[in-house]
Order: sequence, then C-alpha cells, then structure tokens
Amino acid sequence: MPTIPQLALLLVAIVLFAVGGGMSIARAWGERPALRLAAVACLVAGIVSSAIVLVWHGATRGGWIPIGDNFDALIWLATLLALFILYIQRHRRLGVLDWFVMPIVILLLGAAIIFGRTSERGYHDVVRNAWWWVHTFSAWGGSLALAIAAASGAMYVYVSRRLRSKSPVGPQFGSLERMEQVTMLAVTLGFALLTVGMITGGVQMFAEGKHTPIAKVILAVGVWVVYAIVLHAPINPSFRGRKVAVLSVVGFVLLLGVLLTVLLVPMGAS
Amino acid sequence: MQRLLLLGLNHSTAPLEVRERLAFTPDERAAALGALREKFDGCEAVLLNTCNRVELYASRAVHGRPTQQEMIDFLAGLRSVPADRLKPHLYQKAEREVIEHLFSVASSINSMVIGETQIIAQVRDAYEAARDSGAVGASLNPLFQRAVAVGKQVMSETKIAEGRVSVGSVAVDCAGRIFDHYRDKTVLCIGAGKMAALVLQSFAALKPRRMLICNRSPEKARQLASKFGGEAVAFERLDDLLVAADVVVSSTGSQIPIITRSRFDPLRRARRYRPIFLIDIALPRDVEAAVGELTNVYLYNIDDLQQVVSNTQSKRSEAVEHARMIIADQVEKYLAWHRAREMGPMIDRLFKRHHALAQEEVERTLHKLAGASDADKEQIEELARRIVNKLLHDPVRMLRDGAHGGAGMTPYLHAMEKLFQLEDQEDEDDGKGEPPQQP
Repeated sequence: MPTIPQLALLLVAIVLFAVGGGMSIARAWGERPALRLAAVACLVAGIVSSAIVLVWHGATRGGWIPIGDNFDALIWLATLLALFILYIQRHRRLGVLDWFVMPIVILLLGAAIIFGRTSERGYHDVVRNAWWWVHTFSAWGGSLALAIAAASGAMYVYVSRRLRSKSPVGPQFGSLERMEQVTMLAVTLGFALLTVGMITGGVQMFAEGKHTPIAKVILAVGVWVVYAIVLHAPINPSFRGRKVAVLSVVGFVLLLGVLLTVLLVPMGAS
Repeated sequence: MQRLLLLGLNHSTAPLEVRERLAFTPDERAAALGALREKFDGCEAVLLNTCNRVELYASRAVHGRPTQQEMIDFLAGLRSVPADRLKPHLYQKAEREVIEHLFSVASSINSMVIGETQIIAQVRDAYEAARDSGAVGASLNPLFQRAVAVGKQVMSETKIAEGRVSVGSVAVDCAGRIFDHYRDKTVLCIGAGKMAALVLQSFAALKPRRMLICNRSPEKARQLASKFGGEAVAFERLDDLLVAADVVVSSTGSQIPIITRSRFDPLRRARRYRPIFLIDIALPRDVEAAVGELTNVYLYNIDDLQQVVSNTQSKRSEAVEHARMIIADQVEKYLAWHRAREMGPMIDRLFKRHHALAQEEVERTLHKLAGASDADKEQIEELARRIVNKLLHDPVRMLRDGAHGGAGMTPYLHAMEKLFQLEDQEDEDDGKGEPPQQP
C-alpha cells in the first residue's frame, strides 16, 4: 500500500500536470513562448514526480516489476501518456494534444490515489505466469495507445467542427490529415495489443477456470468491435474522417468502463 | 445645381445571398446605366459592383429625378428582386455623405479586408465603364477622379496595407488546417479571372503535385496554367477533375452554381471520401451551399475568407485613423473646390441678372429725360451699376467666404437660385475641369 508521503508526491504530480495543462490551454488566447515553456516545464516536472513515486513505491515494497499493483499500473499508464505528449509535441507538431490527453493523465493518477490506497491489487502471482504477463502488458499498452487515439480523435472532431463553422483554428492544432494519421496509427497498435490481451486473458480464464467479471468481458468485446470498425475505414472509406474520430472516442469511453471493472471488482469474482 | 445621391448595399448590410442577386456582369452594368439614363434624362450615374458591394451613385438636378425611392425601384426592377426585400439591406446617402463614403470605399477602409488595394482598380473600372457609356458628366467626372486619387494617397501615405493578409494567404492557412502537406495533393482552379489567379499564386508556392486549371475559354486557362506551371484542362471534364482534386478554387462568372450537391454527392465515392477544400470566391457563388454540408467537405466562400482576414485587422487601427484624417481633409478640399466651381457661374448669373434689371430701369428713366446729355446718361448708368454692385457685394462676399471656410453653404446657394430665379439658366461649364490637386 502506498505511504502518505508517496500519495502526497503523487498529488503534487497531479497539480503540476493540471497547471501545465491549464497553461497550455491558455495559449489559445495568445501564443506566448514563455507560457509554452512553462507548460512544458510543468509537464516534465509532473513526469519526474510520477517517476519518483514509482521508484519510491517499488523500493518500499521491495519489488522491481513495474506493474506490481493497481497503484503502479495506473501511474505507469499516466506517466507513459505524459511522455508520449512530450514526444508527439516535439516530432509530430500536434501542439495541443495535451489539452485532450492531460485530463486522461490526471484521471489515471487520481484513480491511482483512490484505488491504490483503498484496495491493494497485487499482481505478483500473475506476473509469474507468462500468459498473464503478456495479458497485463498488452492490455495496459493497448489502453495507452487507445487513449492517444481518443485524444487525437477528440481533437479531430473539435477542429473539424471549428472549420465547418468557419471559426478560427490556431496553427498549434496541426492538420486534420495528421490527426487522422495519428488516430489510425494509435488504433492499429492499440487494437493489436488489445486483441493479444483479450486472447491471452481468455485462454488463461478458461485454462485456469478463473472467473472474470462479465461486465468486463462484454465491455472489452464492445471495445474490440468498435476499434475493428475503426480499422476497416481503409476498406470502407465512407467511415474515414469524422466517423473514425468519433468511434475512437466512443471506444475509449468503453475502455474506461473495462478499466473501472478491473479496479472495482476483485479478480476471480464473477 | 446638381444633387449627389447614393444607394447601395455591402458586406456589412447584406448577406451573400442578397449581394449575389444584385451582382452585375460588365455588360449588364453598361445596360443598367443606359436604362437609367433613358428613364431619367440628364441624370449621371456610376454603378460600382464588387464582391462586397453594389452601389449606385447618381447626380441629378436639385429638383430633378430620380428620387431615392425611384433608385430603389430601378435597382430592384433590374434584378427582379422585390423592393421590399431589398430595402432592409440598403443604405442611402446624399451630398456630403456620398463624397465621404466614396472616398472611404476607394481608400479600402470600408472594405471587409481593410488595406486591400484591389478596390482602387474596381472604383476606376466602374468610373471608366460609366464614362464609356456616356453616363458621367460635370458632377461625377471630378468626383470619381478625386476618389481614385484619394485612394492612392491613403495607400501611399499610411501603413494601411502593411501586414495585410490576403484572401489567398487565408485560404492557404485554412487548407493547412485540413492537409498536412501538398506533395500528393491536386489543386484545381475553375475560372481564370484575377481573383482566381491571386489565390492560385498562394497555392502554387506550396508546390502541390498537380495544378489543374479549367475554364470555358481554353486560351485563358492555358495562359494561367503557363503562369503557374499547371495544366490547362477542358471544362467539360469537370466531374473527373473534382474527383482528382483536393483543393478547388472556383471563380467563374457563371450566374448559376456549377458545383451543386446533386453533382458532387455521387463523386464522393469515386473520391474515396477524401477531404476536399472548396474555395468559392465567385459572386454569384459557383458552389451550392448544400455541398458544404457533406461529410469531409470544407466549403469557404468569399465572406468566410474575408471574415478570417478581418480578424487580423485590429493591428492596423492606427493606420486606419490616419487614413480617416486624410479622407476628412480631402472631403473638405473637394467640397470647397466643388462649391467654388458651382458658385462662380451662379454669381456671374446673379450679377448679369441684376445689371440687366438695372439697365432696363436706366433706359426707362432716360427715355423720360429727353434733354439729358450723354455725360448725364453715363452718370446715371454708372450710378445704377454701383448700386447693384454695392447691394450684391456683402451677400457674395459671405458666400465666397463660406465656400472656402466652412460647410453648410449649399442651402444658401439653393435659396439664392430660388429667390433670384437663377436655376433655369444654362451652366456652360462642361464639368471636365480637374478637381483640386493633392497637396
């Protein structure tokens, strides 16, 4: 279980991400280099704080495996998302992606504080098993990619709406074409990892006779179907553009439902 | 004396749907001016028609025709638009306000894109078209010449055109929100007019994979294509071109939309639903508004683009203030020149009329004085002349001072014309005299 100082540091990370996100959004009212630098500084400081919590928590419980429990898993997911923001801002010039990803990061860290404190979920047993190791990593990795797809999709919907209403759109948003590329790339990766996660989870479930919450299974299948529809856009191009973007967001909302069942319902319960 | 009148609508008073109903081709404009002069004999007129405005400038005798209402009925009847539907969008001006407005228009501070230089050429075109039709004379000739000169002065003496964002660059900026790069994109230009060339120039700088130009006149298409390194293609292949294009710039003179929803919708499948950016800078519009409702279609018309441009104009507010000062100064100078020009012949008529009356009375008196010598007769004639001159001296001096020093003299001139019955006499001035030169 995380200690109070660890939780306090995590809270600091949340505040840093929130402040950084706020400053980034403030750029919509006027691009200022100082504001952009401050936003990046907050983002980096938040990432560092989260990383310190991870190391500290790992050292406290004497384990090195990164996805040791809910607390670790959620912080890892949030930190990787924040790192992705840094990367994509530098290389893909989607400068306002953090407007859409940052709330997810804050949500995940908030969930880590709540669920990490109240119900410790040890994964030590399962990570000894290769099947479950693959399942856990692919499920969390898939979630990470699909979170990015959802953020990019939300951006697409927003920018497309602004363009259609002839409202000004800042250059920091990048182009619809680029957002569509990022969404499709993230969905392709996320869908592959999600599929692997579902297969390995399903095999383990049947092989070991463990019960998984039915809500989780139904929602996971729902997520899979939604992203399968997204991925068939190149075959049926009438889906491309706004429909793909909307479905990416819908899929991620369902995925959050899956995540919630994982966090709320103890493993093995039916 | 002439009275100046203006009837018009522009981007701030009328939506695009109304403006395009009133748009005139050059031939239609000439025909309209002819019809106006035929209907209202002796009336001078200039019809200014741009994508942002339709304005009818008229000059007629003070108590002549057309009245403002007759001008509304004429314009509405010409375009078969009910006058009641048109009226809420119209503005009407007279005399000094007309001059102020025209100078502001020519200086582009009345434009949606403040600082645009094209308006000077458009005002000059409108004036030259009216002159070629014989529709301008003593009143509008100097006014429009002066307006063009004021427009040039504002452009050269203020920073109004500095940092100006063109419609072309805004179109490219909007395209940048849709497309990431242009190395695999096709830009199609429909029409080969000046505006199309300006927008095409902005896109040519992005080096798209293909630039296609189609026009009903193949020769014009070839000329534009050679200018920008594009390909001229037959207008009949428009459907195929719309399938291939990612960006379409349309600026034809067609009176009806050439890209309708029923035409474009079936093409989307062949396009594999790729996003398309349609830039419609024609008036009347070339692209039906319903096309913009289709998924992955981004349709911008001239108003949409200019609205984006106008958002960048706050930075030039100082230059606009400077321009307003120049315009105010030039309006005063023009009015003073105009009053002096109108006053000269009128004062001349005034003196002639009173001297003639005095002479009649002198002759009647001399007829009664049979024994008067030649010296006496001369003395009496001189007396009559001096009385007339002394009687008229103060009023004339007041009029001359007013003409050079202040406004509000027009009612006095009108009153004098009426009181002394001077208005029916012919004005021998042909009106071709130059207005005051710039300082």
